[in-house]
Amino acid sequence: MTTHISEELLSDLADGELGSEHRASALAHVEACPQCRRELEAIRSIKADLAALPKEQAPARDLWPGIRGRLEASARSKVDLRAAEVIPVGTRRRLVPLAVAAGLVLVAGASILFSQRTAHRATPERAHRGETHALEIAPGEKEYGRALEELRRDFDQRRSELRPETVEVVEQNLRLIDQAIVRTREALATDPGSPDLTLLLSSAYEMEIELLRQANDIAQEHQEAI
Amino acid sequence: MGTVAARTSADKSDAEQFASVYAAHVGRIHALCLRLTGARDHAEELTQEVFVRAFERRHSFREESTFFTWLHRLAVNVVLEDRRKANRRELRVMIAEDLEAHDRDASSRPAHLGLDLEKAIAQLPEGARTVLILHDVEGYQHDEIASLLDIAIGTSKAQLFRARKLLREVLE
Repeated sequence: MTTHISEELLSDLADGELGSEHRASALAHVEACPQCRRELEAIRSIKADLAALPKEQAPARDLWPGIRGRLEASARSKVDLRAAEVIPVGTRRRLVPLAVAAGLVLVAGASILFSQRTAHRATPERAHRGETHALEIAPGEKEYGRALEELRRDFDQRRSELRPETVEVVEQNLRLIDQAIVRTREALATDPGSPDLTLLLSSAYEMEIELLRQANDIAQEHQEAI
Repeated sequence: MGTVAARTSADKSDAEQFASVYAAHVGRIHALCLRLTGARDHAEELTQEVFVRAFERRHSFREESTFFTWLHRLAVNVVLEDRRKANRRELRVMIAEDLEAHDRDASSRPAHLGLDLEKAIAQLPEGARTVLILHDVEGYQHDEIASLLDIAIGTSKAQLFRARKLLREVLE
């Protein structure tokens, strides 16, 4: 008995992944070969140990308050977008969604603090296309850029599910947030590593991600409702 | 505005009811996230994300599978999506503090299981570790793993074989 069964085959045998013919011949070999039998038993033993690991492990802290907070915030901001879906065109402009307001705060804040800076200006359109993320100026920008590109692609595919007025509101918000991103990046270029600016920048990215995610969710809901 | 107000109220009511869903499943989902990430804080973040997504997508649940199966797959996808987007592999270091969490239930397990095995799992390469956890701990089949990870069934089998071999080497 010099030719042993490969470890891969023994692993498949332990998992029941072999066909009946292979299984029968493998089992016959194992029966006669102490080395392969030991190997099979070792695989079965580790499988049993893994299967016996506890399936439940409560987190060290209660996560529900944080989850509830996010659900409530999400419900509130969805109402802003939905309001744009139901309010007559004539009155829609009076509605300023949260994201717009927050975006304006960021733009204004960055402008006031750094309006005299003369760093290279990226256009909002470039920021929108993710081109500003090519050169990472703050930690995590590439990841934000990738997430935004993906969400933006989804949004472009689903925009037909939304009313044109809603798409306009979303686009308007995106432009404002992009402006905040561009200006904050400019400020960071002249004051690298500033924790305040880095925080402002990541907040703007998070806002844009959340806005696109919610717009996509609403579009998906509309699609499912059809 | 009545429609919007009604929707807000419905969402709030749904969120309150969702607390019981959280309570029923948080242990399983957190355990999965903890093993797949190997970092307690990150696992908690992802667990939150899973339940937020589950709530937002609750209307897409079809009763072709159990709710837990749907939720579990959603959790796996959230972890995998996070890996792709955040490229946080370098943060996957299971520090001693994280391991203490695994040790809490040690009294209910055989002595040779538990911390050593969890530590050994945490040391595995990410791809092998993911397949091992999904197959040997969570009970997924290779075709399901292949579909979730977007890999070939043969790759899933090879990763499992590699993971078990490495695991035995670490434990020996």
